[in-house]
Amino acid sequence: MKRLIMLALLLHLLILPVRAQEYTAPQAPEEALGLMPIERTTFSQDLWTVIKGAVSKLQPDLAAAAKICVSLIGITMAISLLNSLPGKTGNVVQLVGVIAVGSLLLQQTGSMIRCGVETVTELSEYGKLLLPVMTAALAAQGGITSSGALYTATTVFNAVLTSGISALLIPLIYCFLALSVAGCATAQDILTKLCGFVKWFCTWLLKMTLYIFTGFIGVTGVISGTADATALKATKLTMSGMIPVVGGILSEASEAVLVGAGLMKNAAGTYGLIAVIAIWITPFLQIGIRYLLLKLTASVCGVFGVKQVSALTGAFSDAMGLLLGMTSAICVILAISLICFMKGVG
Amino acid sequence: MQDIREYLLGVIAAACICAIVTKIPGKSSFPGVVIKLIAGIFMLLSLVSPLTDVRLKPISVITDVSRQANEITASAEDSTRESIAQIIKERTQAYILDKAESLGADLSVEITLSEDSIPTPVGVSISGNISPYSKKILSQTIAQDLGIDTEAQIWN
Repeated sequence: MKRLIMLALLLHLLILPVRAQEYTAPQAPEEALGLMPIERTTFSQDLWTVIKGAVSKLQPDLAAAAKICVSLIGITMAISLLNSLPGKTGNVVQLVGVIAVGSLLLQQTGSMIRCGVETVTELSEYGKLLLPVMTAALAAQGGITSSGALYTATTVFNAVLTSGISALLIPLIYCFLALSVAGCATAQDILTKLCGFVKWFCTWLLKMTLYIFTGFIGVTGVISGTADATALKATKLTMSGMIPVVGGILSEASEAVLVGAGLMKNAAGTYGLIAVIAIWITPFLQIGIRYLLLKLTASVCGVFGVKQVSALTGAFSDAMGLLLGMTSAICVILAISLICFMKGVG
Repeated sequence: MQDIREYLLGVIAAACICAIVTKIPGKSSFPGVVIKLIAGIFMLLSLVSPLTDVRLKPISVITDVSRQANEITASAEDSTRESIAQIIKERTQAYILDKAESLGADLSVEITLSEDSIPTPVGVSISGNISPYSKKILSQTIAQDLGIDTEAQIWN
């Protein structure tokens, strides 16, 4: 009995109290929360739950997009029929057809652009709440330099890209659509070329932002990660040079706090990553389904020999593609940053 | 949204005007070329003019964010140090109490830690009933094992 009591006392002494500050990810927005699993399991299973939830909600969007595509094919068939009639009405028919197609698609595209802008804002706002938590957790784990560098890079790129999207890229998408409609209606080459330039510029801007961000994160990650790892190693060396009992206590205490902070950081990071994907996936699928259907419709319209309508439908699908790129760019920036935060020191 | 609608309508109107105007003269005539040039400039201006109003967030955002990052990491560093200090205090207290118990003494211990980045025990305040012999042994143990000099040990 005495031995048992002694053993219990010794075991009690071995327990390390983990009393680090709590680092929890902020709750995901209402709509994204609906897609997220109630009980957390593994990352892949949680991700699968989010994807399944988003796909199951896609039915009305698919129906609406299909309806518009069928209408577009109907208009194209009508134009094709009218074109085959005798008389010099070809240009008028073409113009009316382009205006009809443009007005049909503009409403849908307008709502998708609003959806894209809202998603970008929501992702950016959630990132603003999540990043300080991850920064503090990584700093508590010993990554003082890396956490600061990661936070600065992600927040700056997030702010610049968000303001760039709302102030420059969205107006450019409208500009692109206006040029497409005008180009198809008047059959002016210069407008089509300008249209191509706007599309190239938007794509280039998004690509460059992502390249610069990834490059910057990669370089600063290596430099600051090495600095943090060296600092931790130096601290451990200092501890090992102390009186054995004090060194042992210090080592156990710091290990307990660092492990606790690391666990909380990874939990917050995994939740944050799932939340970011949950915010992004529904608009991505909504826009993506329209993008694919419009691409398909453009090909079908091409079969009827009405080039302008086919080109205009293609331009609208390109606009959807640009929107997909914008929403995904913010999501990718946050995801890369969260993965770097979770990777931690070293 | 109103601005974007106005911009779109403006561009479409400009495109229509340009298309009509360029159709008026013949293809190879001199006025035709001039009209095309003017129409092109007019079209370009109507496209580009709203973009001149675009204002991206200033570079000062970088310094603000950098300051925020420093504040967050400093606060996290402080809280980590506090957590580590608390554990060290408890473990050191437990160590001394364990030694005192083995000497048959019933004591209460208060540890003082250094203000360094790595907090280490620098002083101790001990109160309770203890025999002079046990006190001497415990004092030596504290000095040897924990590095707290006898001068830094306060016995009440």
